Amino acid sequence: MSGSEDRPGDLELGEWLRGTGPAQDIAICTRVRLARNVQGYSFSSCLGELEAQELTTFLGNELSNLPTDDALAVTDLLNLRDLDREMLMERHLISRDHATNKHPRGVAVNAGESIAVMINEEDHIRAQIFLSGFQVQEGFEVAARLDNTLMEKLPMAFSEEFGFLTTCPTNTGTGLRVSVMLHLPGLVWAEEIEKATNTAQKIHLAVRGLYGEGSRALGDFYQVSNQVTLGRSESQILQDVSAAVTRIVEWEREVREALMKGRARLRTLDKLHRAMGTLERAHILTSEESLTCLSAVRFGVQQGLFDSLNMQQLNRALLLSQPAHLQRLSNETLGPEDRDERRAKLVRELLGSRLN
Amino acid sequence: MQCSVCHKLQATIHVLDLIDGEFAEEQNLCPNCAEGAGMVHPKATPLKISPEMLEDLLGTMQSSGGEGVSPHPSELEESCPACGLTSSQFRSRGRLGCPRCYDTFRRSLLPLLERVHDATSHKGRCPGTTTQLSGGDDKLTELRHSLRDAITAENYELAAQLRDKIRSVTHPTEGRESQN
Repeated sequence: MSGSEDRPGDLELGEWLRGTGPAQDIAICTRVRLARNVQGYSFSSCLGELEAQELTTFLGNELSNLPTDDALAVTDLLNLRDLDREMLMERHLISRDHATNKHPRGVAVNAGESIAVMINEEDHIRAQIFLSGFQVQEGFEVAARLDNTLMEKLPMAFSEEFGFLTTCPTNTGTGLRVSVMLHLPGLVWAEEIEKATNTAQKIHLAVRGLYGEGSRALGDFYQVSNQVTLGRSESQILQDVSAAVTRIVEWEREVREALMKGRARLRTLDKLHRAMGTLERAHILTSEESLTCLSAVRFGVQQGLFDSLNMQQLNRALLLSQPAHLQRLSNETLGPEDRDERRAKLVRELLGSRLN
Repeated sequence: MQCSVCHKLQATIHVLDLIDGEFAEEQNLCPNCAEGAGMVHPKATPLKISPEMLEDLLGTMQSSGGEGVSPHPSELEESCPACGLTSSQFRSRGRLGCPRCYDTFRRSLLPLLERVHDATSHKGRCPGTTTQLSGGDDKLTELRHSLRDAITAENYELAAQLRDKIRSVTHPTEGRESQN
């Protein structure tokens, strides 16, 4: 396993911000996650320190030697600096819990950051597949291939009755969580988002913020995912999420169109240009304000405004303006006030302003 | 858009019925008609338990005795023979300690799974099966249900036959040298 050394390409855009794939104007990224535990070990929370280290090393070796075309590089999170762990979280490769936990644990990531396997998180294995845009079926196929390869090498905890056994009963059964990250400024601005959220909940789907469980929906980014993992097959779960996402995407498109028409158009344009003005001119920019304005400008670019900007620039600004990435770029530890100043400068530079 | 029931107020609640992953019906209701039809709770409380709410639910079970999900009397003092997790630890953490816990705390788990998933038994992939994206898992599920029924009825001869059938589906390569 590697330690805390810098890796080339760390600051490239990962798969989740590549800005390609079906419905990419609204669906930022699809994530497919499978939770698995290895037979013969207690679940992660009940492992002693030595056992947890042994399992982490064992799974790290197995994952780095998988017979697949896409090699995984394994990182021991215990030996990593706090800042680097936070960066992995900001890139969505590990969960917040996995970044802050103190137990032996790791992560195995491929070069394109489309595969990230968390080792010894809440479950022994949390295999995640990321695909840009709305690609639920394709994401699951990649996940299933990886799962098959893993199951050929490792005996997984499984019961005929409850399926794949997981630490938390909310994941047992398929262990499958399919989420699509959606950018929904139209529904938020038209105050329709609560209805969309309620609709999703009625069909047993969860709607969460940018960083999953317990996080707020900053910058109008929402994750729609299945809640039920037991009693529904993988194909049914994929259909449920696909149907709901398709409906919400259509809904968002209808609302966006309405926001750019009639009397609503003036208010929308005012909001979009004010956001652009803030990003171009601000000298202090908090994370929240930055996300809010980037969300608006993203919407504007998709409506054909701001000719000089493209989605790649915006995605780069979205990723690099996060606290850990900012500090990595500055090569120093920064307090909140310094970060806000650097963030404003970085965003001005990335969006091509000449007002520095 | 007008409410499709009273045809007076503006429809602000849009109810989509999902059958087999397809939208079967859409209703557009005003808040009054939606509440009257039991479609929404007055404060729009989600109907299902989200994973984040599980710990709260388990905490409630512990303090109030819960409603239909309290520990089974035989599990009150129980601890898992494999990992040592006690039933009170399970209820306070909402997490199980090892695969064996699923047997140890089975009676408490079943109502909990019912509330979280609306189901208590697995349907879908098993170790050893290949990717099946449409309907191929139904046969296996049926076999498993039959196995459970046979065990409940203490028909062990039938149960053994069913177990072998399940094994032949889930472990098609068995008999060859193990790779582990």
